[in-house]
Amino acid sequence: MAKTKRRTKRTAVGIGVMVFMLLAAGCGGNDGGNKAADKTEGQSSSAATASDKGGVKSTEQAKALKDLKITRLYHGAMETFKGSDTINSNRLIDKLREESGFNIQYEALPLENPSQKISIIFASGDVPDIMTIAGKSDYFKLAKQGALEPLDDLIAKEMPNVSNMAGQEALDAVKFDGKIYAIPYRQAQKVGNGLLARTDVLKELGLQEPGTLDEFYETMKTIKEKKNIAPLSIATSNPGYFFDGFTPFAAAFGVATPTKIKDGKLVFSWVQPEYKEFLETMKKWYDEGLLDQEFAIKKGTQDTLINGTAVFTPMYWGSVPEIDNALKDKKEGGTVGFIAPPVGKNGESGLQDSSISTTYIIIPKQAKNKLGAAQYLNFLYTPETDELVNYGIEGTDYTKKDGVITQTPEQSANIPWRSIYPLGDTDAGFAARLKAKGLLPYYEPLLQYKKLREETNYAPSVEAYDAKFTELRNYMEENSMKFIMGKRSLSEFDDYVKDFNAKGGQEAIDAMNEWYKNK
Amino acid sequence: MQTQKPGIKAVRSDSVFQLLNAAFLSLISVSMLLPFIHIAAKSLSDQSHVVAKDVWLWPKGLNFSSYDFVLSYKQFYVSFGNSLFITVVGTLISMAVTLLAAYPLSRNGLPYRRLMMLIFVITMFFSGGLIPTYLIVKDVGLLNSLWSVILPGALAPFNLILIRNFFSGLPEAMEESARMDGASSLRILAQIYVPLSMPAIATISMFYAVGYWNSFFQAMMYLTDRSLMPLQVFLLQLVSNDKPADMVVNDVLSGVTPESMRAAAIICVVLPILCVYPFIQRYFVKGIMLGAVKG
Repeated sequence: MAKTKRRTKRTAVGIGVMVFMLLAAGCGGNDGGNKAADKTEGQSSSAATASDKGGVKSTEQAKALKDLKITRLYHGAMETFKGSDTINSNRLIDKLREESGFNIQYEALPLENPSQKISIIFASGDVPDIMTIAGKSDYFKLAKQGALEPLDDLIAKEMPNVSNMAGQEALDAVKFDGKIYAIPYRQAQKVGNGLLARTDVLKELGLQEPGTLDEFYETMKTIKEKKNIAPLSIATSNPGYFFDGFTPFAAAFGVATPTKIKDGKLVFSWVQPEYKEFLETMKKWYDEGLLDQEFAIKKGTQDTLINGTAVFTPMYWGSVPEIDNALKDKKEGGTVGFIAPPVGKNGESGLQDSSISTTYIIIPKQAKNKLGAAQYLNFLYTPETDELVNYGIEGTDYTKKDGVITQTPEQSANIPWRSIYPLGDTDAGFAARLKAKGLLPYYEPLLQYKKLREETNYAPSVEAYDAKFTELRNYMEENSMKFIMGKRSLSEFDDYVKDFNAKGGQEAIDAMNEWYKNK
Repeated sequence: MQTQKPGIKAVRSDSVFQLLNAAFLSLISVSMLLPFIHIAAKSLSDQSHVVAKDVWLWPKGLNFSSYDFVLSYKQFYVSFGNSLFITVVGTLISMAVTLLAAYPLSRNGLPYRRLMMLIFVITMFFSGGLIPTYLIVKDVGLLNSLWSVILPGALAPFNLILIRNFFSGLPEAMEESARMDGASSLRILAQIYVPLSMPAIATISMFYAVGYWNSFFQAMMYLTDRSLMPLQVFLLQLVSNDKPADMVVNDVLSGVTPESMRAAAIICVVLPILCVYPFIQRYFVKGIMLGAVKG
């Protein structure tokens, strides 16, 4: 009895699902149930035709089609259109269409979870001709699935200008099975975070800008004595923040990058004896009240510099204007400026290199206009187009005299959305936009400091490493904070190293060394 | 309840209970209200005070530049229009579908009633999965149309059950007498059941309306055209932007700190739907008892 009951239940479920699908489809179409049923039936065959189409197109690729669809990652500037301008209708895109000869249409992926949408787009077969993808793992996953068009031939024949955007090393890093499937989206920003100081406080106390780590320590001690504040503020409450925030100090010990080279092999910095030294020093600073006692739960440190509760903090250069303005509004006033990251006993120092691209420009295998996609990218990468997408239209948005370009802040502010269109940033373009905004003084001081190279950024996808990296970093961060705050004794550092390696650290670095030794 | 009756003296322990109860409930409501007030205060404050974390519940350096900023986005108005359309049209369609399904399902005479109900309930626990659903939406030609936000989820089985239970609670004799007078089923539904179920309908409409107003996942999946984005997607993009380099570089953030701007954006998005509540609140008191007592 129970069995038959269960069986009827199961058939009921089956019928239920079918009926519901029909109902849902019937509600969807305006044209009743019949057509909807056809649609659901035709679904599997439509996927098949889509792949057929891809095959046919690749054989008759002699001529590029005119229509070109570009789906790019979300960009905040997309919200800045005014009046009747939209992403696909404004004077700049008109000009791009005119000059390139393609009827380009730009679309954006959602800001939230773009990789989900990307997999749906690929699954549906309705793909654009050019697409941007964020993240190494997503890119290599798609390359592995065969969803992407190999670009080697197209680069050789159609895209000589790629060299303006990506060097050989960058292209090597995107190779999968020896083939290039993407052009890395070029980052023009070389460095992001620097060590920011309240320069007025240093002056008030008659202190020099510290050069070495020891001088930095002495300076902090003096500030602590005279002002009774914790001079160094860092916020590490989110995953990844510890690694970013402590970079200028870890660099003095040569352990600011995830991996380093020792005896010709890659090793994790986080398990080296010098990492223990770094932790010991930070613990000393913490114990002596020089380091913000609440660093582990802080989300940001801007307020500490503004309110004068700290003098030093690692800060993204783009956030400095905000601090500057807030200080100007204050009665007491104050000035901030970047100082050199402290130099360790072996002469090591530096800041994080932020020029590594983790965004990839790809052409889907099923794209209808692959040739056109390659030609359009090549067009984008010419210096003339670069000028167009960074300054706008000559005469309206900027003036040019004897090769010197002048763009007023107003002119720049009229077309804030222009940076949606380039697929890769050039140094000239980046500098131009910064200049028009008056931001160069905040960015340029950082360029003089040494930027630390992370070797694994130039590696292709190494499964054992990439899959474990975030977990390992989080484990390192969690324990580093415990060590610094005395929640875990540093005498247990060896146990921590053992656990780190057991958690996949050893496997990850071994896999990475396979690549490194054959490089 | 008896303590409320006049003539019977409140027992001491009851008044203590009432007091504790009131204190507890006010604590809960305050804890829910505080973040909202905090955001509102931030949105009205001067940027430098917000960055310095001076603002708590009262705005400092009162100014409206954050609102100016949010309202200067063209996309805000476009998105507002989209959200309004989705909410109004979506709620109407959802209510129509729900009522038309709930009425027959509440009648005892309908054959295979339990099976049909089961079919509806199954969809509460299992869905077809993201990609199959996407493919259906694509194949019926709804991609990049506001209907894709409304139609695939037009009927919420949970709401259907609530309405059906409410309908079941209405005396059958009423329907019988109407039928004797020659009323058709549609007329019975429209002129007897709907007017009698206003509390339920108002409540469920509110559920649907809030759902549509807050929906953003469908919009994110099915819409790529910027001009079709509803308000929630716009808000998400404003709020969760952790200020990437190019936003600073491109004038997007000038003058106003992201934080006060975010706060203003949140208020702008929450306020419209908040304004709907007072109008239907009078139905809520009855509404929450929906289907609680059957028979």
